[in-house]
Formats: sequence, C-alpha cells, structure tokens
Amino acid sequence: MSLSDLDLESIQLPIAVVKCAPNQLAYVNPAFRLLIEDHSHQDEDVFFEDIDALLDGGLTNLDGNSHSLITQELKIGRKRFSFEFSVGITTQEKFKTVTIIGVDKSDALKTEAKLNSYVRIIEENNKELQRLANTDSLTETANRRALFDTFDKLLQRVSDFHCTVSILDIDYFKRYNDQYGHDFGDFVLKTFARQIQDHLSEKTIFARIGGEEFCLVDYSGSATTATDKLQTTLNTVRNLQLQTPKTESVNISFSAGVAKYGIDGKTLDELLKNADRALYYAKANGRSCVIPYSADLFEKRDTTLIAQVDSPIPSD
Amino acid sequence: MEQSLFEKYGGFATIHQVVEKFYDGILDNDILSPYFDDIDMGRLIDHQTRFFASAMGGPASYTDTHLEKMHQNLSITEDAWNAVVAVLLDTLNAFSIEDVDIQQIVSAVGSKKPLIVAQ
Repeated sequence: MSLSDLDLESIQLPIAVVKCAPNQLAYVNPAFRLLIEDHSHQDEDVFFEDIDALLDGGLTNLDGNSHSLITQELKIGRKRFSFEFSVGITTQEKFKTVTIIGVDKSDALKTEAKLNSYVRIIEENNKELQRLANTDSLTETANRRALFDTFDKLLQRVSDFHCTVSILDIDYFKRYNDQYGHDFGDFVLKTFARQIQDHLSEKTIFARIGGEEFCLVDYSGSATTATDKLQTTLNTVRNLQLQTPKTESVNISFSAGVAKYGIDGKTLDELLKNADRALYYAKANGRSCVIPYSADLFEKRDTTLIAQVDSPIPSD
Repeated sequence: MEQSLFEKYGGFATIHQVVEKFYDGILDNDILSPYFDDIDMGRLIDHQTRFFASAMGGPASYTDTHLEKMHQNLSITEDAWNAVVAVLLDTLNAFSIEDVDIQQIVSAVGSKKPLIVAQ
C-alpha cells in the first residue's frame, strides 16, 4: 500500500507531510490542523517554527527509508506541550518524502511525571522510616536492632568471618547526670558517640545498645589490632574536654570489654555476654581501660571488693 | 494518630489532580510563568507533587534549608508570592476541600514566606 492509497483526510491521527530540502510543509490532515489549532489558539506560526527546528535537528541522522520517534517539548503561547513525532522518510528516485505524525503526549507525560514523583516520595519515605527504625535518635548511631541485623548479614555474606565485639561503657556517667543534669548527660553521650564515629575505620559497626553502653564490632583485621585501635580511641576520648553548665570542664573516659568471634562465642548474644563480663572486670579494676575477655579472667583477681571503690569524676 | 489532610482527601489519587490544576494555573499566569521558563515539565511536576504532599501533611517534607536554597536565587517578588497564593486558593477551592482545611494549608505555606520571597 502506498501513501496515496491512504485516506489521510479521514485518519484520526494528526499527519503532516513535509518535503525535504528545503523543508516545506506539504500537507496537513484535519486531525493535525485540529491539534495545532487546539493548542496554539490560532497562533500557528509558533508551532510551525518549531516544526522547522524539529526538522533541522531531528532529520540529520535520517537517511534512505527510515523512521524515528522524536519527543519534543514545545511552548505554545504560555502553555507547554510534549509532542511525540513519528518521523518517516521515504526516498523515491530524486525525491525524499518525509511524513510526520505528531501526537500530543502532554497529559500522559504529566501523569507519568506525577506518578514517578510519588513513587520517589514513597521510596524516600520508606527509606527514612527504615533509617529511623535502625537509628538511635539521640546519638544518631545504629541501635540494637540495626546492630543485630547488620551482624547477621555479615555472618551470611563474609566467608571466613572473624571479628571482635566490644562493649564500651562511659565511666561515671550516672554522676554526670546527677551533678549537671540530664541535658549535660545527653551532651556527653552525643559527644562520645560523635568522637567514636568520626574515627571509625572501615569494616566496623558502632551502635548504642543501652543507656551509656555502646557496642563496637570490628571485622577489619586481627583481634590484637582491634584491641590496640580501641586503646588508641580510649586515649583520644580521654583528651576530650567537655564544658559543663557549671563553668568547669570535665574529661570523660570509657571502659571496654572485648570478645573474639569464634573463641569467646559464635553468636552476637554470646559475644556480647562475654564482652560484658570483661567490661565488668574493667570497671572493677579502675575503669578507663580495655580488657579482652578470657575464660580465666575472674580467677586472676577477686573483683567484687574492688568494684565497690569509686573514685570522683576527674576534672580540670 | 490524627489523619493528615493528604489522607483525608484521598491521598495521591486526589492530589495528582490538584497538582494538575495548580501546574496549569501557575503556567497560565503572567507573573509566575517566566519563573519556570528554564525548568522542564518533569521537574516542575515533581516539585509541585512534593509541595502538595508536604503542605497537606503527606509523605513528603521540605526542610526550611531546602526551601530557602531552592528559592534564593530566583528574586521572588511580593507580587509573585501573592500570585502563587491566589493560584493556590483557586486550586484548592476547585476541589471539595473544607474552608478550615484550606486555611490550614494556606497558613502552613504562608509561614514559609520569609524563606521564599527575596528580602
């Protein structure tokens, strides 16, 4: 079937036939005219100028007998329209005939844009809810739930997994709360958490698991390295000076117990339990220290008496 | 939990029609249309969908910093602000939104005026 067999006048799709070189509009069918008149408020010139631009820009890559789809956003008057032009080119001896079928896709594209936008909003919202569910709202660190989730994922994902699980407990925290108020207590927690987070190396998980208790999972290297790093962190934290509401400043420190995956436990629960035991030992032995767990830890020294000795908050 | 206006009026199923009317209203306005000359349709619709979802307590939110940043280089005049509020009222009135809720939306938007209009 050739073009001349078609009854272009009665086809509902807007059709324009354009001659090439120079680009000239040869024919528009009633549907195309309606499309133009509908949107241009009789201002056909605007539309035809854009058609020329379309031909100049869109047809350079067309040759022989080919066909292409071009979506063009056009401004007609104040309004914007998205037209999808189906451009076909037919070469017959010395002449090229270009046919253009233009379809107004504005409404469909607007609906698509709104739907896409809404999908993105919902996705962002879900992501934010997920983040909130996994974050400790005060310190912005991971919470207990996120710690367990991430640990489980690591166990499944990493072959030959090994790590240390440490519990870090801020020394004398209750006294900060009692002496300077809860706002200062919160300030201590936030400062401490930020300090640790700022110095975290890769392959670590840091989470708040209780009032002034935090957990650090380090799966970056050997247990010895992890313990050494924790000791360095302790030294950095000791150097922090926090301004209290009562004009003086205080130094903070933490005690930590460290458990090794595979040796001191295979589940996070077991590891936390043993890290907690080592932490207890650290608290009982003067605080401000990092103690690796070992099964004979409590045979070395009777800690029950030492635990009762409390020294005052170190201050400047 | 109290139902948001976004949910009360049918969520996205309604809001997308509100956006449609607002979008047309903005682009059909002599004062407002030039502000959007260089913004493509998809982006404009995205902003407006977020705007309504946020103003009606739905699942999107703009922080004050974000709002300020988005508008700071646009030299938005008092006239433009008034024109947007007029289009907004016009839009909301075209849907069966209760007066008290319209007031709530307009006053929520109004509270952001200092972040949007050039000082």
